Amino acid sequence: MTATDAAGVRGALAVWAARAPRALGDLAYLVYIVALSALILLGPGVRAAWLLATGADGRAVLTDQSVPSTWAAATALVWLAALVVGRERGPALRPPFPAAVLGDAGVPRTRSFGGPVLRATLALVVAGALVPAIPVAALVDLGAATPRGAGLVVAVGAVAGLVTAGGWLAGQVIGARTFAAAAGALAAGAALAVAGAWTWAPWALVGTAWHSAAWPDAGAHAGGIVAGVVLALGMVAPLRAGLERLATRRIVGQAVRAQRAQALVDAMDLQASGEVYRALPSVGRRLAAVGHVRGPAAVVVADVVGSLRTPARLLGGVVALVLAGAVVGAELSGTTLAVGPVLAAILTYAGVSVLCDGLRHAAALGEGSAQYGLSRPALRGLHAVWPTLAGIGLAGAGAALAGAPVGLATAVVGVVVAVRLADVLKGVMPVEMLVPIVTPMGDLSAAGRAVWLADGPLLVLAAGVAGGFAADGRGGLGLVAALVAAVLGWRALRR
Amino acid sequence: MTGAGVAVELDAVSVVLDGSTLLTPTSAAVPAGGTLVVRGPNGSGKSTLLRVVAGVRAPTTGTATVDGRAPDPRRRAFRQLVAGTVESPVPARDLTLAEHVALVATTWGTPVRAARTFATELLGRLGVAELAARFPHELSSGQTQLAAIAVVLARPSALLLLDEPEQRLDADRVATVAELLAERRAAGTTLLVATHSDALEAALGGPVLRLVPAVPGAPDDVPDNDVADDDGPDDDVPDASADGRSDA
Repeated sequence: MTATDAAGVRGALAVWAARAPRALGDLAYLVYIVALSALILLGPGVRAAWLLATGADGRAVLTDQSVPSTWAAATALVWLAALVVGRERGPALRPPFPAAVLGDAGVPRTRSFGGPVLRATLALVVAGALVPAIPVAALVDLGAATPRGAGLVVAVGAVAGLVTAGGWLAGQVIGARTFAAAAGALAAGAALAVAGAWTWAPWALVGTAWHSAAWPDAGAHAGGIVAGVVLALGMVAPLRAGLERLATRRIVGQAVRAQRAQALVDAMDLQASGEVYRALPSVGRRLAAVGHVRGPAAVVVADVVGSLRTPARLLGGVVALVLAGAVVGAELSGTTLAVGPVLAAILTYAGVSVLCDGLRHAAALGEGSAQYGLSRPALRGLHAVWPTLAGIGLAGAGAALAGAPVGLATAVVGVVVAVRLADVLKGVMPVEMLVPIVTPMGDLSAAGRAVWLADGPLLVLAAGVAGGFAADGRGGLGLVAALVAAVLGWRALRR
Repeated sequence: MTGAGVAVELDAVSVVLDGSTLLTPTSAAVPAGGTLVVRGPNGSGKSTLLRVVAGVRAPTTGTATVDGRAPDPRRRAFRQLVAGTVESPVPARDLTLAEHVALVATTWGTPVRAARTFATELLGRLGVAELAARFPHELSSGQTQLAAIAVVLARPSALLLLDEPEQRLDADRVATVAELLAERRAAGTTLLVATHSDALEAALGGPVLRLVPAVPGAPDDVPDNDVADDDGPDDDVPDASADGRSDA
């Protein structure tokens, strides 16, 4: 790396930045929005979390023996997620044009793309330290840990954040086989941690520190911390070399997709934004999707075979749905708080998405499309069969295998599948929602747009919470189901 | 894969959008089972004309009818009559090209086995049999155009609306498409085809409607578009006035 390299990159970025200089007023407004959002949203959230953590239930949860292994499993899953995200959107990212220019320039990648990587790393290190900070501070407040032990947890949290950043970059730079091996190891590690085998692995570093903080007399498990720190230090050099070898085509491809997805998010079309990153089929073309059955049932069979053509994606969906059924009866450690239905709802919402490609295709057909000889409601109804049957069936099977309540699993998963179907049929935001709603407090139209954007996740959470009530013998799930049915029916027939 | 054709009538149809003229007043008539080739430079309104006939664009002035009624894609009966590439077919990302053709044919009543055979034959006729097992994202732009045509031809229709079907195709493929369209016409389907291709125009051999683009600031009394006798490659084919319509 030379001074010329640095000057070249700086010059290119200066020209790029000069195309749309940010006014001081814009910057001030951005700071104002961030500060206000933090005060309004983050502040009460942190306060509520603190009150919960330092209450009677919080003590029971935080001092439960299963917490360290939960930290280990969660850490492995976060690293796995970072690795997977890096395949499609890594931290070495700039807008498409500067990415192409700098990618083709004779400048080291660490110079041309090191800035975004370092910023991402810093953000993840800070996040890694902050995530365990509140619960371990609560542990100190409850008198269950010393400040020194809490400090260790926060410090190794930062190291875990560093490894997360490394995993994210690794996803971008490593080859397919290495990626598969690393992803398999992390998935297996998460499963082993749930089973109780967690103290020896790098992803056990936060769990190990937590164990030392909460039970200082129980003997230290330093292995996890040492392994985590060694991994963090050991991955720097290979990742730096991998970044240097990263192909411009890959960087630019990711940059283009990221820009397209962001533009669609800005336009509040989250469905289309997700489409940018959805896996394309490459296998299974010899497996006939058409020709097994006659009539409308052919549409259902085509959906089933279509799903088989993105096997990794399908596998992820199946695992999520089976897990959804298996965890539906789970309670928060040390309490009788039914968190299983909420987890099941979230897993179902994510898992059933991979089965909805046929319905997405039907939703993409224009209002007057006559591509198929079926009415629009009939076509949509047929494309809904596969995700509905598979979603409920897999979750029911998961519940039966795990000894969880099958009826509750079926009810919660059924409602969430309907939410996902309604999401797929949502379409673009109606322009009427852009009309300002003038009130003495200001323009309230943004609230309507926020609800419209987030109605799917909100209904999923409502279904999960209502499922928790149902587990306690209380009502509410029927009400959520009726609401979801109304939304789905309206979208299926009208949009 | 065909149906009895329907008549199309355009009477001084124009489309003006926010002060911008997309289609100057145009008149034409196509009898059931007939052909009308629409030509004109870019911006003359060929696609807009097809969109009016497809019912996805309302005319600002004049009237358009298909089988004696105003085009309305919300009517099921209308959708059963009209197929085309006015709006590109929406591909299913996880079905192969042959499966697209077969699935569309199946939903229109073709038995499964016959639909698969039909798909194989149609792709063979289009010279893309080797693409049968490709997914949509594995096709080139020209192959995507052929796939769109194949999907449109997979269903029965009384009226085919094709917007520049020759786009991105080599001369041999254009000839093949023309041949397939001629077969559909011979079986009774009405054809309305916008094109820039002399070869396609000559092969289809129908009357030609030549559109002229609107000129900003031009006087309102510019002559209407209608089917004309001119010295183009369609000199030796009958014009629409032979159908009893002349709306100059």
